[in-house]
Amino acid sequence: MMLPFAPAKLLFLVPAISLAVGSERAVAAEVSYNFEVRPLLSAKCFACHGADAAKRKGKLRLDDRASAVEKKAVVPGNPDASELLKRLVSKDEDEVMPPPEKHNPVTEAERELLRRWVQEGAKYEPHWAFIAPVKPAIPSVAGVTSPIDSLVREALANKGMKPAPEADREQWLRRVSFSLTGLPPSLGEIDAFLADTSAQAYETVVDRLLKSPHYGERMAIDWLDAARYGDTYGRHEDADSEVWPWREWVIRAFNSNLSYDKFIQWQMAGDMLPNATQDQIIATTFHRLPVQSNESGSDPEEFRWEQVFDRVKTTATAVLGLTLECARCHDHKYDPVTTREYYQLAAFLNNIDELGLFSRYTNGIPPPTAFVYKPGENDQHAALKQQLQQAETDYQAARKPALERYATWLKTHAPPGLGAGLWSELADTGKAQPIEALPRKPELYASFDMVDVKKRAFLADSAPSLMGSGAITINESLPGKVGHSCFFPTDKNKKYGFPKVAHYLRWQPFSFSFFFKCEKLPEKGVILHRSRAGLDAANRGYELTLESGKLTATLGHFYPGNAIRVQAKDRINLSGWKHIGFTYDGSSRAAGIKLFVEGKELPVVIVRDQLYKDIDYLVEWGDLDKTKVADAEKGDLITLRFGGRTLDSSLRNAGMDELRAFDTQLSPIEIAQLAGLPKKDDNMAWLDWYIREIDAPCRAAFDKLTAARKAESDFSTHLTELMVMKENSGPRRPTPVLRRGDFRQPSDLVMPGTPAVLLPFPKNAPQDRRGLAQWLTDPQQPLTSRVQVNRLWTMFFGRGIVSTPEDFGLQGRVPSNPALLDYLAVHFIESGWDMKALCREIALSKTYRQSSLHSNPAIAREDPSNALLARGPKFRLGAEELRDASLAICGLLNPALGGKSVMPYQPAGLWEDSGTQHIYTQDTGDKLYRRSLYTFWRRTCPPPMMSVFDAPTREFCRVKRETTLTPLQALALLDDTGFLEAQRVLAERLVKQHPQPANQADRVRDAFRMLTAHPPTAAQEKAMAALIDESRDYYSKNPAEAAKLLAATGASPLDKTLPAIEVASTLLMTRALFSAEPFVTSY
Amino acid sequence: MHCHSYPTPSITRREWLSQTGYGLGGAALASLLGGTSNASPQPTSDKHRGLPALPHFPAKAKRVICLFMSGGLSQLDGFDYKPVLKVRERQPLPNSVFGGRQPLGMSKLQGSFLMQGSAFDFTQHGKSGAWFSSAFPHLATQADRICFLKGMVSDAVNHDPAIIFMNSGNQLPGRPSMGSWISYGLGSENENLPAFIVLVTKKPADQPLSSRLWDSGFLPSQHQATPFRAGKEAVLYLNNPPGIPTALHRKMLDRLREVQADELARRGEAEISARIEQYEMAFRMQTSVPGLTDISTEKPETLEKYGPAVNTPGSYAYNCVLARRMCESGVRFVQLYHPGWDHHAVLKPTFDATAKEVDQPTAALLQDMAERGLLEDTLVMFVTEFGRTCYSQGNVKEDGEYGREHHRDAFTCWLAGAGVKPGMTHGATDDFGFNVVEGKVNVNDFHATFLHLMGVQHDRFAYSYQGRDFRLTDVAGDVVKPILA
Repeated sequence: MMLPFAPAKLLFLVPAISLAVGSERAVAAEVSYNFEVRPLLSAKCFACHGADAAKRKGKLRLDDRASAVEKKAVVPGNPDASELLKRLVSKDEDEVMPPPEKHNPVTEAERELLRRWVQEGAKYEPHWAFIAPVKPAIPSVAGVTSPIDSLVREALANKGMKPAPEADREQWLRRVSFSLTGLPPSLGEIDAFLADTSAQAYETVVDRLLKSPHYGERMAIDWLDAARYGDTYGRHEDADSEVWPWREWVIRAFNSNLSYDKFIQWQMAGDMLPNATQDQIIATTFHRLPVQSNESGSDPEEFRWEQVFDRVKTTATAVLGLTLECARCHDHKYDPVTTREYYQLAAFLNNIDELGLFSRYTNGIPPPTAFVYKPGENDQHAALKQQLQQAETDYQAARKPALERYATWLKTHAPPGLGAGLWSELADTGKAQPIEALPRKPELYASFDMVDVKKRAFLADSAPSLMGSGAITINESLPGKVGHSCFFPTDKNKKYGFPKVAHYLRWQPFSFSFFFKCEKLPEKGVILHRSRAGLDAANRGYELTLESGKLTATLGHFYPGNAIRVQAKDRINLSGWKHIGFTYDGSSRAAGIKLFVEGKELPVVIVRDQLYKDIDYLVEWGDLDKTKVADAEKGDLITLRFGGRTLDSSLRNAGMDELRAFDTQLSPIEIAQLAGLPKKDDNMAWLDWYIREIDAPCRAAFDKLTAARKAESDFSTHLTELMVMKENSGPRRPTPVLRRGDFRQPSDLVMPGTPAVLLPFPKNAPQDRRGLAQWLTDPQQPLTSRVQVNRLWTMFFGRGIVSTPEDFGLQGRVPSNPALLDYLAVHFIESGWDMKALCREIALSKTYRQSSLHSNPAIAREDPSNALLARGPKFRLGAEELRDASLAICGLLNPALGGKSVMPYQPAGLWEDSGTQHIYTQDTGDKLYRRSLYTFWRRTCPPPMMSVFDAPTREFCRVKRETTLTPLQALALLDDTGFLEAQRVLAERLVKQHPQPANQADRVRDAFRMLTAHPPTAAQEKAMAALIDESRDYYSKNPAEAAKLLAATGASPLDKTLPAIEVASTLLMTRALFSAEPFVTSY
Repeated sequence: MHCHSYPTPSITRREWLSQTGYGLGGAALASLLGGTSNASPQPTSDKHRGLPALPHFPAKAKRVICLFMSGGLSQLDGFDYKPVLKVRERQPLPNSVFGGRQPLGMSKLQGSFLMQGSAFDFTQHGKSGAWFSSAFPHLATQADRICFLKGMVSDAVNHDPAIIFMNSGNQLPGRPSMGSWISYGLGSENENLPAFIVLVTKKPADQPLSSRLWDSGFLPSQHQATPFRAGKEAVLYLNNPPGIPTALHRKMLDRLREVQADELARRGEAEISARIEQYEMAFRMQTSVPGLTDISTEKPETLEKYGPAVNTPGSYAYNCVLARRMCESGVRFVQLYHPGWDHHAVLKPTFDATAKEVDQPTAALLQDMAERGLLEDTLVMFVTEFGRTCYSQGNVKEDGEYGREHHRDAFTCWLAGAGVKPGMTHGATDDFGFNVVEGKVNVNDFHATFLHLMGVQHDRFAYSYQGRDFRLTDVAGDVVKPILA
């Protein structure tokens, strides 16, 4: 394999800097196309002379050697003959390039570079990041053994720069503690390290930190940004999404040192691995974190696509460091990725049975989902399913000999119906009972002949106290099949129904029988349902609807992924009164639903067949939240209704008559009889009725089966459910290329595939997410490893070797030390993608152990961003680090790992004022002191302390936080209740430790060491001691003010044994130190 | 502005700077004041803290007040008078008007689309003869200060994408909002206050209004808006805790400066100077904001003009007064949000009530600004995320109550003040208020125009992120030239 660049050359490849300090160039090495020339051409020329044919000027492309040579823009070896060089210096305004109106001139140094490049033969190279990394030769450098240090020092030497001296022990310890755990060292840890004179002292510290469970938490924070983790869906009403089990898994994965290739594979396709474990399935929640909306009137397909796009974007940015989303609408302008390839990649991630929206009227978790079992729950659930299966087998076994018992029974009995008329007379008048056994009495019977004129409502015949609710106009009632009917002339009456009946669950058999008429049948319409709304409630409940003019029955927890639905094969004509039957057997299976028209069973197709959670609305699930505006309108929310429903298609000029609801599954003969079909003298047709109503063994077995169904359903009701990835069970969902990225403009269908410019798709890999995972983590994949080592490097140094971690493509910055990046990338793969090992190597390197002050201040001017690493890292602590450090230092930190998100102090009213109808209920007790990564993250209104300190909103993948400086940060550190509490608790500790006012300098020294790991300078100690004095002066004169201050410092109890004036005065000192440079900065 | 004096610290800022030889780095100061964060070593003068290249040309408008009517204000019941709808009320909207398009949003479920006239009477006002419905009697008196854009169109028909589109030029969250672009590009005119401030009317909201609407997206987060909230603490974390009086707080800051100065002396880093300055700015904010939000210093007759709600903190009227005061203090971009315009049903009384909250204060704001000469260099924008359909949503009730569905193909916004022709109407819809027939202005055009008024050429104002140059106007946008004064 050809080397992308010769190792010896690498040492000089330090762009930007090399240009700035070109005079220090030790040897005139060959110019690098990748690291010097191409970035220049890309910035100045490619916009008009690049890959985009539509924008190309003069038919010249400079990104392609053949074209550039053919056009004589570049004459290899002869700069003076090259048009490129001529144009750069032309005095003619029409000739000179780049054109003056672009305001993008080329500098003298840049011209010289191009000249040398052409002189040297104008060699082109494929983009460095698209070629697999190759381990460079490690130069031998005096005094260092680590390859990291050798490569860094060699690069420095070539610039004539000297590394900084070693950081003192406290500085390194604080730095490495933040890098690996996000927490500062304790006084004990500082003292132990200072006292450890052994050769392994540094290793001991690093190994201790890597073993700490806080390591996983710290590592997780960056991945949560990349994975756009939030605790809410993120759009419109922004409800809670309950995805914290995934965060817990991320922490677990880091702590157990799951190799990075597996870390990615599981998140891409853990559910598809053989015998997938719960953790492997949870990992796939990664792809379910795109923001979702629940706004009424949204097209679910539009919003579903947005989630697919976001999966592509996040995978590309977080794993590959590429900006593929550009190719959604047009071929990528800079990177060689086509729109077709973009949709091929999308096709991998476009094959789960999802709706695209979250539910407005329920708190259902959008499928596909998996149960997240607590210890023991998995076994219990398996046992219940096993018992259910056994009960089914037993019931089927009981049915077999039932025919014999039926024959015996028939000798002395007759089935119902023979000789009897319609059931209504039989069942409801109770008069004529010509036979011994009756069919099942309906739970609800409404002939719509009984009218309460005063209330303008119909009464149920079966229970005349049951009054239909809704604004039916009696005058508008029309003749029905029998007597009156319930008629809906307009869609105004869509809320008509009978409350408190027909509350059927997924384990209960039920049936409906009624006559129906609808003069002009709509494509879509709701005939009968018990639900809050259609799509807006994720079709929770049961419903009989018209979809595309076809009779359709659904039982849903959350459609489509957690529901059963059958649909008639043919359209229906309802212009005259027709009898409709709808029966269900309580099995949670689509085959258990039957539809009848005029007493005949309809041929149906099964549309969905996976129902694993109940179809009810429960307070426990948060579905009946009266505080929500939408729910506050009416008391009686969930009711059997007909003719239409909230935010769904209504029926007009439609009527219903002779409605019956049964809490059992009627047999076809019973439906036929209800439909008024001619009676048939067929005893065999009544066998199912006999088994259900008469046969004792079958009835006992069925009761057991129902009990088993109920037990399993009840158990699943209380289980934690999590959004995960799960492939469609049927054929793959087709993925078209969308013109202009618009979901309404599908064109050619594509199959899953990966961009050709990177690694070819592995030949034996399956063409699904497993294959994608394999491709991403293939050792030859040029980007995955580089991107990850760069991420880890950034965690330690505050700046990546590639300073644009979001873009390794042609527009991204080239690596500041390409050999170092490639060494780390290859070494990482060879180590088995071992993250802890790499962290250890970096943390112990001399490069990382340097002081953060340059050996010579002049270096700072040459390399202000410390790209070459002539000093150790230095950066302002992030939002989480600042808060966690303050909790750790004062001793309040609750070290619990994982679990649900918590709500610590937050200024009142932020959520309440935002119109998303959420109330911030601050937690109490030790939940106030969890680490910041557990703070509840509302994506439309993130924790203000985090936002102020530059945390992203987590709506989209972000792989870099900008560090800003604003007055609001100063105010937050001074006045946030959490910081104030930490300042007070720390003050209490200090006063307790050094009670005498005369010893207050000791308080200052301890505080400094706890906050910064260092003792104060004499001047600092003096200033802070003076502050205590000044404060004491004030509080001695105003003791009530001291009490007022302490009373405002959070929920943890005050130490009443300490003098309030001393604590308050010391608090002023700790308060100042929380804003001090050596605390807010990691040096 | 208010002037504050406090005890001179033991070391002055100038002394630190001279001691270290570094000075307060231009980049560091700029980043603190809301300018560019790109570590440019060029010193930045105090007067200009935005991008050095901006403004591209002399700006007519130095600052903006953006009045955002959230929910989708019905153009047909406010400013876009359509008598035909009254004449042909309850008749189906002609298919020719639909033009083969599918009805969108919730109304796609309804079977008929019956035209609905406005329940409000319309009259003409001012020399310009602009139409106002009876819901806006006060605003009507300002007719000749207003430039209507009646040909507004959007791409989005649901609130969430549409309101983000209007604010950031993109339907998905994650891009910088209008105000953050301005903060990033033009910086602050005031050392004590943020460049971009948001004020939200405190009332139950029909549609969510959250920080994503004023987020800075991929721009450095200091460019996100600082929301000013009703109540004792106008800015988050502004107030010192009880028991720490200002004098003691100041002492603490001075002692903190000594700690910092010692650190600076040893390390000599520009960031430290900037962080010292950060605390001084925070202190100045702490002392200047209470004065800014205390409207008791206003003349009673001034306040009276804003209507009776002006004394209720958090009301739209109160926020209008604050917005004017912020303009006087040099805040670049003040955005007021007023929810309550999502009238799917029972439009008349609710539109009327919401208009009442907005009408008089908005009129007073225009008049007050004009009288103080502020309209000379301040742009006032009155916007919403989309319009509403000319047909009723669902059935019209027996009492004549109707509602209107979201409509993206025509709506009305207006501008007033710096650089805009007063007393004119640009753009027109058809007889049904359904389609724009003249002077179409899409959201990108709107952004291009307001940037133009701020001296910014929209297609030269970009931020490079993920290898691409992003603009507020994305890849489109034409300045609406006919309205430029």
